[in-house]
Amino acid sequence: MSKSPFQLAMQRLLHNRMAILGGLLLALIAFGCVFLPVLLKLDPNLTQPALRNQPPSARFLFGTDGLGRDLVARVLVGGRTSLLVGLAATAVSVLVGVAYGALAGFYGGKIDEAMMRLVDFMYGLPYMFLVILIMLMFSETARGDMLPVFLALGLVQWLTMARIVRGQVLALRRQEFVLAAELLGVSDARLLIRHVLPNVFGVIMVYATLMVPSVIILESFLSFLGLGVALSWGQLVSDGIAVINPIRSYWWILLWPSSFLGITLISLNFLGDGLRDALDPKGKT
Amino acid sequence: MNEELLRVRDLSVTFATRERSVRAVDHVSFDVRPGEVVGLVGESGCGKSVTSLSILGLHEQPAARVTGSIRLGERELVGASRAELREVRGNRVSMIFQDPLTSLNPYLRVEEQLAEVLELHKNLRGPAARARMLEILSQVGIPGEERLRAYPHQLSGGMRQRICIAMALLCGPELLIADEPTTMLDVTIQAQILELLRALRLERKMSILFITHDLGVVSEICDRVIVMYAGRVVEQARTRELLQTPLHPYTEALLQSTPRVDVPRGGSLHPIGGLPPRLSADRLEECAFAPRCPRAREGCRNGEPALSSAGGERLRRCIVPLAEMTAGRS
Amino acid sequence: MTEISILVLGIALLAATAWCPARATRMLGALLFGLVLGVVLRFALGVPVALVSAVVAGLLTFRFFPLLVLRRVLFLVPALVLLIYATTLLMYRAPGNPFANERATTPQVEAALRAQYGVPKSASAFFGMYMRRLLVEGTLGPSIKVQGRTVEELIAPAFPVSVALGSLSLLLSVSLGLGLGVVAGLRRNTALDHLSMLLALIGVSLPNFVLGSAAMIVFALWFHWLPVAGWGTLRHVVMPAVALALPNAAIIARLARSGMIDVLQQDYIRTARAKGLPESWVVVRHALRGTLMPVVSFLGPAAAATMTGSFVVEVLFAVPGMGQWFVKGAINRDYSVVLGTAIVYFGLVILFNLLVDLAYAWLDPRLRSSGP
Repeated sequence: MSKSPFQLAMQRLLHNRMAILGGLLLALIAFGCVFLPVLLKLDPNLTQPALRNQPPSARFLFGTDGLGRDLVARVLVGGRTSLLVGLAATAVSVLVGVAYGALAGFYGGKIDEAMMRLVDFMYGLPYMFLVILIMLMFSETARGDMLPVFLALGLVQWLTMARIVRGQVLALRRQEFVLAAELLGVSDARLLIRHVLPNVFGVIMVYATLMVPSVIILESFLSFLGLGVALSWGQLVSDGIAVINPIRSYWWILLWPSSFLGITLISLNFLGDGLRDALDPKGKT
Repeated sequence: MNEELLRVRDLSVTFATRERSVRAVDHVSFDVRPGEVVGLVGESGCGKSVTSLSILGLHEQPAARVTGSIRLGERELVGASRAELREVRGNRVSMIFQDPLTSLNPYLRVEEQLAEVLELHKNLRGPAARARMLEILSQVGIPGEERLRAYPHQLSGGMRQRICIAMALLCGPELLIADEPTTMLDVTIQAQILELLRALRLERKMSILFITHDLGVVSEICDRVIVMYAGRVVEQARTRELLQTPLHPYTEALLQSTPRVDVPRGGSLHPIGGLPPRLSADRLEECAFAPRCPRAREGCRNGEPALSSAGGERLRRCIVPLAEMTAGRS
Repeated sequence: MTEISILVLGIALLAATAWCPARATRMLGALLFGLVLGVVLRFALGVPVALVSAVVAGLLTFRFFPLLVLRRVLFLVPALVLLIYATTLLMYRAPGNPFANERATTPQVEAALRAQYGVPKSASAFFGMYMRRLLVEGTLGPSIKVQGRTVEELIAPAFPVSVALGSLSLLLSVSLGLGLGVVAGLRRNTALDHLSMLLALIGVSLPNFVLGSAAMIVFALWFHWLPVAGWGTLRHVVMPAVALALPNAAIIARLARSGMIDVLQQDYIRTARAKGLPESWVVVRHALRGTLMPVVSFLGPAAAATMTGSFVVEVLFAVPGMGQWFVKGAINRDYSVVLGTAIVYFGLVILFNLLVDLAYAWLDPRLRSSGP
């Protein structure tokens, strides 16, 4: 009894211990950030000047910062932002990238060549300029408005997705089952959506998973530079670095957000790598 | 001279994959004499390429387990050290492969790829090396210096294969192993390459182990033929004898399935039914060809037939009586 | 909205360069190359030298450059112009303007200030004026916020700092990454391989400022081996360059490893072994070239990533590079400074991409063509 490609892939994935570990850690962190602040009634903004710069204790598991705020609350709530931005911006990248890449790969020829040259060119650009400028466009008008952040960050990553999807679609386009459907008179749109794209789905998942960490890093860059819109891990790390000095080190202010950030990113990468190995063990993508 | 150049005895190659072990070559034995062209024939997956790669130890080490003996003159090649093998490769025994385009390094010029063989084995550099390269190139039918400076992708398929042959001949090997060298070439070029190999073998008294699935090619160039199926030798004979009077049902079926120009049109093709068997590491309890054999009978499932003599140097692995095999000829 | 349509038209034109016939590509490409070279050299060496070099360079590239590269030039130079236009548009769309923070902002005062600094109300007008000023007068314009200084005066001292930091870190990335990746690829599935790839994974997962601050704490505050921040001596360069290099090094390591694994499975490697070559010759003379290809392709985006990362690293380690000018300019709406730094950065990245293209063509003879 042979298994479907999907089942085989799942089997390989479940054997990959690193990927499973990554997935579990991720789930834990996500759960913690989303639900714990509500369940434990934590307030990231409650300043208690009398309790500032306290090292970790029974009451404040992660300690407090310079304004006496509970770091557990800040790290968990900040995590919401970082994770949300990661997911949403990746969603934007996937949507734009898949659409662009699928069209280029599907029609091929000169259209593909032109579309890909654009991508090639943009690939080599330092995006931060445009992203920073876009952030500035909205930083004063709507503090806390996340949508432009998602858009801006999403637009940075779509190139990779476009390239990959284009490559896959290009290859699949010439496969017999697509040509057969075409001969039966299936319209272009239906061909693309019902026949070609489902086969690219796996690859899209893999790269989407691998993109989330890049976006989270970019967002943390922006927060670090002071251009973030809401509390996030990047900003917390920046806070932590600001108080580094040789005399008295408040190491906990830096440690927890850095660790959460690092563990989340590494877990995402393990999971993404695991997915990639599961889907394509010979490494053809 | 009856002293063999290459003596293969009980060669077995097993590949271990995660799920199971596959014995690609199962106790294969044969000889190659000096100046002789021996053909190694069979379907894809019958083990002929694996056998040929074993001679120079070109398998990826961890994956392949090689047992048995391969003697080149007095030297034992199975289990030889890497240094010993390197000394033989390209020097006493050379190999050419199926796809001349991918067999050459696309990033290097022809002369660089030729030069390193001379530098390594003959300690020849500079003008002396160049002279030798040009000499060999003209022997394989590529005169002129411009070709030396060329990159592989700038040459035609036939020329590339000639370069590969030249590269194999630089050090004057005693044995040339040719793994389907004409399969990827057009028929006309194929004829040219075969002609070239025939000429070279005569000039240099070089032996050739010619691996192919094409019986037409075999009839053109081979003195003796070894037929393989599912990793085993099933028949061995001089070319003419084999083609005129096959003594194994598989050989017979192969001959019948080859479309012929001299037969009137309108006849049907005779493919060999069924699929090649899955190779495993376990001993077979029956003849490997039995499921597909048009002459199969009771005894075929009782155990694998042994290789038996069929007169002279002929060998066969079949229980069908000789008389019955020869009677079926028209 | 017509500005957006101009932008779209520009993008369409750019895409259309794919259809430009060979001869025209060669001529236009060489022309643009010479032009850009002239404009750039003018800053450093003055008009006459720049003019001569431009002409000479144009002729040389017309004759000798591979068609592939000239095609890229034909695409990249207009693309740079388009980028400048897009940046201008973005700046103009951002809320606020350079003069909004001045004390008396009645329309007349603003108009007067605008005239004085040459900052028209429309983005396109600004763009036109800016390009004219750049090509004819050879200047990036006066800074709007820093009195009496031109942009080039402001960023000139910061330029070598950023370039030094960037190039050093790229060099580090490539050497570290290649070294680790090649070894991992050769010793596939051994402990060394797994360990290297684990390190690479971690390098790619952590933002450079996290790694950088960890390094800062360990090496500067605890061990006092390196200075905490700042610039000036060789020891100041170490941590910023390494922090900037690590993520790219990690990616290059993975690329080199998979490249090496792929190449080792190629037929020509089998041929090399069949010739009796020792393993060292097989790797160095045959396998390495193929392994380099994916790494070289990555260098373009690697340069861009380095530039991106440099903002954060420069802030973290207080390195006086161009990043601070860009951020300050953006916050203060100093259009000239923003454009000036943007042009320099884009230009550097584009130049680097061109060099990568040339390197690619040099490495793979199949890509070279003498062109019509």
